[in-house]
Amino acid sequence: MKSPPDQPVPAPQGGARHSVRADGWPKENGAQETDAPYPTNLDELTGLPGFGTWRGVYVFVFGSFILWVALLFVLTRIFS
Amino acid sequence: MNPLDFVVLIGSMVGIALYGIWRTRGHRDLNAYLKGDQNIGWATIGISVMATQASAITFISTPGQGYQDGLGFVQNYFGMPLALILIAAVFLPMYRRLNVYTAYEFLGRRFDAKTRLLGAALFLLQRGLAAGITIYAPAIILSTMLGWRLDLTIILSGLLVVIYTVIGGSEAVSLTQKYQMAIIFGGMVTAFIVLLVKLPANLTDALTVAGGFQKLHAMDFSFDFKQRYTFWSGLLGGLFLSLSYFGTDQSQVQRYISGASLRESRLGLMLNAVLKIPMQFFILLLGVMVFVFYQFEQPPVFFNDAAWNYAVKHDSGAQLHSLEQKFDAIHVEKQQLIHNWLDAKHAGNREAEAQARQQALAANGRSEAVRAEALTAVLAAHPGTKSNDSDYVFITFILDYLPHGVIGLLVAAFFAAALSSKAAELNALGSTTTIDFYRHVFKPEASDAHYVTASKWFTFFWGLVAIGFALFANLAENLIQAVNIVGSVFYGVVLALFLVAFFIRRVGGTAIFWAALMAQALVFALYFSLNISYLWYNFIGCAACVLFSLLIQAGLGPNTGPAASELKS
Repeated sequence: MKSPPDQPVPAPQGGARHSVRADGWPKENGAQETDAPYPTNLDELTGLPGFGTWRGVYVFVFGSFILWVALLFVLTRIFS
Repeated sequence: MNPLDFVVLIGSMVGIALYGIWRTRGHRDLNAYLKGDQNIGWATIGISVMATQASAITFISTPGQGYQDGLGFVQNYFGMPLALILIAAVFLPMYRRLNVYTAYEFLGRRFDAKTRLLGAALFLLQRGLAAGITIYAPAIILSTMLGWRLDLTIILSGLLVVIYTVIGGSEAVSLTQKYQMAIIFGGMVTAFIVLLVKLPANLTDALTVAGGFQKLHAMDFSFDFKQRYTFWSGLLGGLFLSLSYFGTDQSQVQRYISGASLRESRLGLMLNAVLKIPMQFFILLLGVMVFVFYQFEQPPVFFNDAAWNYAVKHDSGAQLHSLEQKFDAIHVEKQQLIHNWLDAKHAGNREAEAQARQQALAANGRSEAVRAEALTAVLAAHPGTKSNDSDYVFITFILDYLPHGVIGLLVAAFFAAALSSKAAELNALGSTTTIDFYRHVFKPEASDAHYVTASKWFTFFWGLVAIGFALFANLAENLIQAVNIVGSVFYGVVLALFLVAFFIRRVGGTAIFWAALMAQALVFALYFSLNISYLWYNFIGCAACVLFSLLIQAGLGPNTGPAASELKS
């Protein structure tokens, strides 16, 4: 027997559809399109110089990871 | 340790705890107590996440790991940046949108009440068992090396963390972690600087010696499953473990959902994604430099001084003295060979350099053989001794070579690390017990003040459990491994609950609940019948739970419950 969810979950409203992408996830930077209660326009901005979107931040983090791997590889090659 | 060291140690530990209590005095509502009123900035969140993960063992044992095995252990962290990106992009926005106190509330919203309770119960079981270890593991090393009573070390450090965590709640944990991490970083950087100053060789020569002894072999791209640390196991295994730990473990989730906004929480996670690998590299390099230091200075045969002295006094004295003399003689020979090696390098004589290096490596092999003999003798005299003395390398170096004041700072750093991770664990255990069990099951309609009081009592209870567990920990053999096994046995299924919740919308609450129970039963059955590395149970539990949930849901028909993206606060 299926247990009910903890709290009633309202059926998706028309407005709610604007807050999700076609793949079902909340939009990253579509502040004007979201109606979720917690994100404000400011929440969606990164506020970082040079990074307009979170996608850019993630690419930077991934790039720094690749850089560390490359540096460790070089260190291994030089001193082994 | 002299009085100056004790002033530094006690002053910093008690001072930080009092500051945390003072800054968070008067918190009465549940949001402030469990989520710090969600007014915490990204830097504090980032440091808090880092401090929660890094226990005292990280700072005591990791340099020892660098000393023993070199930099290869850094590969274990390669999956972490990718996991944190995924958590920041997918998990975190959902937790914040639903405004949950615990990660398991999300399971209740996405699936149903029974799945929420199952996830929370698995967390409490696993983290509750591990809670004592966070106090016990550093206490056993520090009390052994400093000659303190183990039970008093456990009780005093345990009570200190219980007091400020109970009084100040989540915000006190985050605030104190910030200053505790400052002590830790200050101590580790100071130790590194003093080490470099004391090194008889310059940095280039030190790196040459370290590289010659294969201590700078940081990357291994082989597909050899028997190799403990490779690029691939670090990337895939690390991704899996980091997703479980950072994405579903309440001790971490509670840290980053306390952010003033989604932006602050995300930046806190990204700070960790960028800094964790260099931080681990630095700690391992510190251990490698201690190794180089001990190529020029006489190291002890066995770094666990207390166990060595015990063995000398009980039957093995003559044999151990003989081994010590042999070890010292080889060391003198090795020192000369290393000097020859570096002289040949400076002179540009490659042939002589290679020859001296080979001879130094051979001498090192002989000294390691003597160390192995010494270990056998120590174990024979004192069977309870840890077979690996690398945990004692860094603390031995600190006590023997660092100036007073700095010794106090380093011991304070180890205690700060123990307290910071312990505080986050207690905070999470108290929160989950209050929110997912007490409020959800037993008393749904009470006031905020009532839940804050309940949360304080539950946190206090878990603190006593942790202290009690740590006090009796030495009754169980190889306890740390036992707790790791318990974690691996449960972690896979917990991760699967969340992965299905986020990514497989067709699966509903009933299917995932029974799938989780079946997968957990399968893991138990395999654990008692197979002889494989316990780390595999993470993967087996997760894969089995996902597969079973799909099969059960196919039998039940289409899921009519909400997808994760359709949930609202």
